[in-house]
Amino acid sequence: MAGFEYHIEVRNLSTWFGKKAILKNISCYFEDNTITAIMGPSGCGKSTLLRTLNRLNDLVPSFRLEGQVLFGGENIYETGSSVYDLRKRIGMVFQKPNPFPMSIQDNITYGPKLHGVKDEDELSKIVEQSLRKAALWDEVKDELDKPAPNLSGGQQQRLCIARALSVNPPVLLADEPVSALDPISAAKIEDLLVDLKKEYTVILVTHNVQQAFRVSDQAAFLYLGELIEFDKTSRIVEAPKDERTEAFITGRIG
Amino acid sequence: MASRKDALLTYLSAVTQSRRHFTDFLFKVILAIVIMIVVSPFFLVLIQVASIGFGQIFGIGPGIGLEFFTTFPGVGLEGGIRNALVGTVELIALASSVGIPLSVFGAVYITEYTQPGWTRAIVEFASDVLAGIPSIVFGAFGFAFLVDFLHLGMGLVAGSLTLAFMMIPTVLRTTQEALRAVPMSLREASLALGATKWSTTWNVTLRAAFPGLITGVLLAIGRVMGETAPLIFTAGNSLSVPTELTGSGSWVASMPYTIWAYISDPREYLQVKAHGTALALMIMVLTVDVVANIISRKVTRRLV
Amino acid sequence: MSETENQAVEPQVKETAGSQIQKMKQRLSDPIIDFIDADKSGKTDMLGKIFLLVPAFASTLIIILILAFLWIEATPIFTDPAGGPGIIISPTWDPNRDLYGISVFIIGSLFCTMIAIGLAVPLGIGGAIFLSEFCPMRLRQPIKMITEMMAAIPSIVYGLWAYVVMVPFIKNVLAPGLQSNPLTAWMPWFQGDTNGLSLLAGGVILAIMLLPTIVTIANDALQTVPRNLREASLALGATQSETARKIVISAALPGVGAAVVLALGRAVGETMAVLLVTGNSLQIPYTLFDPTYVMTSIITNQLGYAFVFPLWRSALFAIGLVLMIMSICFTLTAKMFVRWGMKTRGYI
Repeated sequence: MAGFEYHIEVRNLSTWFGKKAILKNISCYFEDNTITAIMGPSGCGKSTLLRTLNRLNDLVPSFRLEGQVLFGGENIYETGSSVYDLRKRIGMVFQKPNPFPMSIQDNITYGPKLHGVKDEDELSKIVEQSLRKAALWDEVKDELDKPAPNLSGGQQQRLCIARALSVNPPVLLADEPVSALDPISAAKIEDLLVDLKKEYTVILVTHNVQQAFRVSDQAAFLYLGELIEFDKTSRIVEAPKDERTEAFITGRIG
Repeated sequence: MASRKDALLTYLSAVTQSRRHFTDFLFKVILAIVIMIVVSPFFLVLIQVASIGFGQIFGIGPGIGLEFFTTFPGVGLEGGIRNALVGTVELIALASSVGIPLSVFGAVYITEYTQPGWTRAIVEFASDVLAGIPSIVFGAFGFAFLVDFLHLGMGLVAGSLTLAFMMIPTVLRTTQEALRAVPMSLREASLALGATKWSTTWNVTLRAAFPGLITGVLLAIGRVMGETAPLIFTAGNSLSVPTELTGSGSWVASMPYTIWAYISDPREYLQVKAHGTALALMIMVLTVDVVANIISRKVTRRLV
Repeated sequence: MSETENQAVEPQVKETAGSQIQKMKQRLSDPIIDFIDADKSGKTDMLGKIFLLVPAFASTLIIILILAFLWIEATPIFTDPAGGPGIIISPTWDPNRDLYGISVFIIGSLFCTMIAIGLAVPLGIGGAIFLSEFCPMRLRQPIKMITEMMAAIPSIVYGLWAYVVMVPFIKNVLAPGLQSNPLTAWMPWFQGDTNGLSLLAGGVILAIMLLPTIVTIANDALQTVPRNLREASLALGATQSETARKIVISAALPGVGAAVVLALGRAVGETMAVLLVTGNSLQIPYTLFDPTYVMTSIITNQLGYAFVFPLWRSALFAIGLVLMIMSICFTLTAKMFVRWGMKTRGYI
């Protein structure tokens, strides 16, 4: 393990919403420049785990946590560094595309402007770069000031990816990013994510085994809040060690 | 003790660590102050009215306490406000008996018997406009139409009808919403059993929409109970209760009117009585409002 | 094929004139035939529908009646040489001298409303943002309940409080305070002696009465903004207040706009509270402490005596007509805001 700049690690993480336990003693490690899939049946805590990584669960007053979440070696729930900086370095894409009701351009410059970028040239550069990385530039480059909600579902989601990339986060979290899209757009975005891992670390939540197999390098299988297996995806899918994993892979539970 | 101080210090240092943190904190603090300013008039008004009016309602003495509600003002206006209390009750009762059926039937028609289209749009638009008309305009209209044109003269009928007109928009809209909230499947089940649309509407749909309907009715009654301007030129005033429906014997007092008359009067004891009447009126209106809210909350829970 | 087409087309063209009358006859007679043919259930339903038609149009009828009667009563002053449409800008109101200029009242209402809106809109929207974005759950219900109860308090009770508490406060504390404080003493709008009955009193009590409306409607509009927009903003590293300011407010703008317009309508039409505290003077106010006369107050004060001169009564109804038209305009504008919201955002 080389010197860690971005590695995300979770140690003995348990979370509760009020009295209800969601995650139970999870420990795992997300390697740089890979895609890790967090998979499991509905309601097993996948989204909660993802949201714990960028402290989005802080918004829920009844949220409680034990254990550590380490980013670059520091516990993000303890350090003095601000949560806003953290979220700048860990980006997120949501299940349902949620572009702001503004122009395409304003959607992308929202993040950089928040964090202090003011120069017009720099902002346009960021817009082009982000849209190129999200494979959307060619389609919208002449319509940058059209309202974002007018785009199709697949385009909106790629815009959301571009928006997340606009602040150059080393880590990108994706909460079931294609489950609300049609198969063609979904395929495009899956290819996009595989492409992105060259420069970013992607952590993907999915309930679709085939998708995890297609796209990810590592996989974590979560069941009822517990981490059952964590290994290379190909190994888990082809030779699951636990019977619950096997039940999920073969589709008996979902 | 020490840990609280520590916690406070950590909080303060967290909140000031950067300009963005501080702006966020400041914004929240300012808005918290704003909301306190927004709700404070409620307490200010309540305290003022209650502090002076309390003695009128709960004290002992001539024309005070229970007598406040059971005696008439008498010659020097030193008695109670029985005229106003009875007047308000009678006006509301009469207004409701006209306004509620009109509004409910109207709402039933546009929700159950029409498609979304011209008819519905016109009635809804008319209702929305009616809701926004100033109360004094209703009063002037009542005066020109009911008192003058129809020669009803000032009194119980003219006053109640004017109030009824003011109730229509509220009751119509809330009944419409309540009817809309009833799922289609209920109506279909009834029709599938062979019932007529008429009987379905009254026995099934309206029954299901009843809580929402009652909420709307109560809200309208609460609003109309406190109205002064529409009654000034249509109800007259009286130191006793009306003896006929129209004509000079039908002049009727009302609580809001009495508050206005007494507070405008320089005599100190009338100012005090105005506070008592205001307190009684506030209690009546707020009770009706709270009951309406409780019912409406029970509805949401049942449907969900 | 083409032969039959031609044959089919021509007869239709010839029969149009005659068949139109036929169609109308049919449209009238069909329902009656249906009714006679229907069974008991059918008859009940049809009668029921007619029975309900009348109340449905009651509200439409009432509006038309109100407009009609106001118009009839107001016409004399507009057509009489002593009055005419110019009364709207004419400054002198003196029924004894046949002068019916109503501009004083329009200006009074305007100033009062401006003050009220200037105070109530920022406070109301700020309060709504707090309730929607930052308020802890435990406090939200109680605050909303208090707001609803504030909306239910009758205007005469607000008037009573304003008359007994606010007016003396302005006279004894606020005016002397502002006029002696070096920071504010030079400001032209704080000048003037006052007994408390003033433009300021009217504006403030109006603002207090508008607050619940603005808070409730604006809060509803803010709550309708989908949660995932906020999450997207926060996930990019924005603070809660930045999210509120940049995303939520602009998304809720149509609803907030509707709230403001509705508040405007209420402000202009408010009667009793303003009547008691504005002093009712026929002069145009030049400072906040000057008394003023608003449209609703003049009607309330003088309609009872206006039978003395027919034009006097007519002029008062003309003011009522102006009020009515203004309120219709406000309602229409509010509806346009709602439609704007639905079109561009899919919700208000």
